[in-house]
Amino acid sequence: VTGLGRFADPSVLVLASLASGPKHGYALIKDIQGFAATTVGPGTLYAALHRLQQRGLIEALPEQDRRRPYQLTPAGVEAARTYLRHASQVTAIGLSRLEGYA
Amino acid sequence: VKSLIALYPARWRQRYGTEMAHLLKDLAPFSLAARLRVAADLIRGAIGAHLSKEFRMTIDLGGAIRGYPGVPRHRWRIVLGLAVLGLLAAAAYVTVVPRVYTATAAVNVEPTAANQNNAVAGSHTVGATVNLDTEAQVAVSIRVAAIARRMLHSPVTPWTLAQRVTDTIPPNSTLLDIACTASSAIGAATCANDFAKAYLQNRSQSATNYLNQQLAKLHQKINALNQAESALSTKISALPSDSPARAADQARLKTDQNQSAKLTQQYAATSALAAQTNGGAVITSATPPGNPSSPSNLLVLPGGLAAGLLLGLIAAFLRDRRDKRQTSLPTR
Repeated sequence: VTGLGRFADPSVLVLASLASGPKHGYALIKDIQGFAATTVGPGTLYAALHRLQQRGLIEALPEQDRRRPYQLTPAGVEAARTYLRHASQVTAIGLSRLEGYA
Repeated sequence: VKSLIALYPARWRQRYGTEMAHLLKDLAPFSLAARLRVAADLIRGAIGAHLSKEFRMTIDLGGAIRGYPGVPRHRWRIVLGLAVLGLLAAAAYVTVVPRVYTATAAVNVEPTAANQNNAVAGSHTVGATVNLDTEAQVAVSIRVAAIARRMLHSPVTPWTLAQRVTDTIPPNSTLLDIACTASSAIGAATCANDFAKAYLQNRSQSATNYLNQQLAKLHQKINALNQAESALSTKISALPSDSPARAADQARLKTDQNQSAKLTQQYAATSALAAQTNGGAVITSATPPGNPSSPSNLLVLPGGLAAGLLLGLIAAFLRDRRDKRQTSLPTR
């Protein structure tokens, strides 16, 4: 994910971040910065949150101090798992093939 | 930066506006670079939200167009889309097309010695001696262009150079406005100034040439007379003092002497006119213009918008008619 900058799919980053528990917007941005070394802009973040909600992969929790946390739904857990497994497969094969290069 | 949330569709703002505003507050303070990045991100997000199926019905820009009687309500998006497209195309044209600058120098044309008998009735004239309509043609002639080309060290032909220059006569004036177009502001000003100088130089040269011709002719006549006079004098001195031929020759000599005195006077008068070959002066030098004369944003941008709007209206009508026809077909 690192190195691709804003081209890294923000939806995946959000799913991966929410896997460690519900978070609101600011916590999401900070968490993603921490584990992916990528800064997701507020416009991009909310576009992703909206898409994921529409697909039923995450859901909004009641507001806390006017900040609304989001959490994974069971479908979101499943989708994230499937996607990341697939991605790790691609990653493993890609990396092994790249070993031939200096 | 927070105010950019206003760009989002109303229903989006109802749902996410508060938390986005709080997020921005939590993320602050921003450095300038971060502010620009966040602003770009929000604008992109707002455009995305407007384009998404769920929210795009809430854009409220088309009120005026929707209210237009002939255009069906659900077609206004075509109209708006094409209008925006037209505006964007115009903006792209304005940025891509090469800029052309125009600068103007004003020359006051004064009569020269060569204009003594030049009265042309009913034309732009100065004291009935300078024909400004002719001068306007002279100023953009190949001859003047050739002089200007040497001043400008221009690589193009005089003809090509002359194509860039136009001149006008302000009504009821003895002025000539010489305008030149170029790809740079300074180039346009230099060109207009050099053309004005070249025109005056040519005008002064023409006047000098004309005077020199006149003087040469007079000189020739005076010389011929002088020769005739000396020949007659020699002849007279050889004749006896009571000869009738001598009296006749003396009368002829007298006439010749009178004529040569007149011509000498005329020669002096014409020589005095040589001071009058100036022909005018540049009264306003051209300065580099601040804005290009073409393309004109004021002309092209509204033009693009209008064209887009028109195409959009036509497209909306056509689409609507086609749809009506389709729905009126009998269904099986």
